[in-house]
Amino acid sequence: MTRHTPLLLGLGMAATAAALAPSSAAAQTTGTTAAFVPTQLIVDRVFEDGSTDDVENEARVFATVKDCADNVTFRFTLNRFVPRPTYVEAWVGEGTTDCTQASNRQKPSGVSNGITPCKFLGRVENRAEPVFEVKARDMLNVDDRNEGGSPECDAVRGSPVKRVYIFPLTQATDPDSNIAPAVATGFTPAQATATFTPYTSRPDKPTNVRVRTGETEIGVSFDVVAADQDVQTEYRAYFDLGTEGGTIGCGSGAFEGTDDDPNVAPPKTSATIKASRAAKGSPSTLSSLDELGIQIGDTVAVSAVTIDPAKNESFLSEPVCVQRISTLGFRDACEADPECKDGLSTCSVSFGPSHGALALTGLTGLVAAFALRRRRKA
Amino acid sequence: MHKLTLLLSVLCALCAPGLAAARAPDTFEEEYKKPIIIESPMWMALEFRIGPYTPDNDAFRETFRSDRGWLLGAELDVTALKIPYVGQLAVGAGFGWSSYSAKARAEASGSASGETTKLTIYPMSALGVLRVDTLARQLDIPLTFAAKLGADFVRWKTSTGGADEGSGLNIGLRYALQAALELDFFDRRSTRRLDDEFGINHVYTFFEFFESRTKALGDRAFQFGLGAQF
Repeated sequence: MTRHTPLLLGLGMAATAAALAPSSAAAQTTGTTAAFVPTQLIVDRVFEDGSTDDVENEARVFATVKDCADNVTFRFTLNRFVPRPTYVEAWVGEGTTDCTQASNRQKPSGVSNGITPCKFLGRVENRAEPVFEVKARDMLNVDDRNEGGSPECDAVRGSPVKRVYIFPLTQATDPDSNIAPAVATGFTPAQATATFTPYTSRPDKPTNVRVRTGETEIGVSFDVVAADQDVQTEYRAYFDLGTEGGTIGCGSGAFEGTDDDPNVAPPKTSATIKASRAAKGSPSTLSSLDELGIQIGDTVAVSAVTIDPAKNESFLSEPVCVQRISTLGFRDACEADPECKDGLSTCSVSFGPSHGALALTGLTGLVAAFALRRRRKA
Repeated sequence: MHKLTLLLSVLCALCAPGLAAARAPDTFEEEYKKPIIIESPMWMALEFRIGPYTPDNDAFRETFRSDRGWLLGAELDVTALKIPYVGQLAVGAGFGWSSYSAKARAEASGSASGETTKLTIYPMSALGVLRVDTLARQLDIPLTFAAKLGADFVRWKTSTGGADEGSGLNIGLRYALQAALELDFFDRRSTRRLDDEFGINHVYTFFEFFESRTKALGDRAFQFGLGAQF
């Protein structure tokens, strides 16, 4: 079996576009509560490692099966918030369900059959951090019967799914109550809309893969299809050793794949793997040719794939074979030239007796000049 | 031959504005009066220069072929002694940079590989400088000349692909001859203001021939640039 080893390109963070139409509802409350005016809503995707994709005011949220995994979290940020004892809650309903109605906002455990017309996503009660963090699958699977079960995200497999999120301002004194708290008097719940577009087809593969080789590094670059430029994609290079008679293997060898390089910017479509790891202090996480066991003379096949925002990979591009070769640089040329070799030692002093005498004379003259100047001043 | 042609071109270019100015209509009479000699301290000179430079050795030519480098440099001179009717004797320190690159050759085939081989040099110099400005000060001819002698300390490093292949320091003799055209005559009032406000006595453009006799990295070359005395 041929082994395709993802090696060195983590070309680009998949951009997630999100669409949350900012709510223009300027809500008014009465009594002890203050005004709540969510002039803007921000959505971030938050991953388990703490990284986020800022998708503020974008048009779409790309959702796939992978987006429904538990490690993908969406974050709603309310730009303006009110102090206690008020709360802002997030509810989402399926279809035309009106989540502004308190009767549709019963909490799951308070409903006998476990199904609610609207799903409770979370409550914000901390003004310092007015943020909802919701699992992607909870947002997409409104029907609680799917919660924790499978298949997840069925609803988004076929066509774009539009969800309307409701943010009512409540005045509950018992946040754990199963009864939906009343919406603050005079308050118009804020709304945000997100459309989840499934990406289930493969993107086009990169073309015109080019390699450059040498003794200390092998580089790969390629062209991307124009359509990919509309959507931020990432790319990855694969090296095929063909150790077990693979279809595109070019030779023998053995190496292991490693982490993607996190420092390659999205527009870039090339990368280089060096013979040895970069110097101390470099953030590079790439393995080196030496670590991967690619010796001088070894031949490997290089191919690249496009990865769309939904993490769908394209087919492999046409592979290109490349051999690590021995090269001759300036130092090699210098070593072969006795005059140059003698000159490029770590420290080379080429003052001959005449030069030394000349320099000594000049130095003496300058010292004399300084002395003369001081004497004149005195 | 090319260097000589370039030298002549530069000199012609430098002289052209002066000639043109001399033939210009005499709308500002004071521009043509003899410069007034004003006491103003002048102890230093700063120069910025550029010019092609290729170390003179076979390995370099074989590897980098047509890469002429373009050596950038700067030099600061401090006057040690003023010599009446002659000029100044100064000590100077210079710093330069030049980098060369080419595709490394495949050992087996001799063809260009995908790797780049590089050589970077940082010439630093300690110099004694004799600057003769007799023509400019005594005869109002805006030309000055300088002779420089000292030591060159050339820090170098080379790499091929991702591998550093060495670095070091080469020391050798350095000398230079400079011809400079003072630009004061273009606008003496501006020159006066420069002196009053910034202490800059003269601004000049120059051509300099020099030789560095450091092993493997030395060569004869010329540079041109802009300098100021203050």
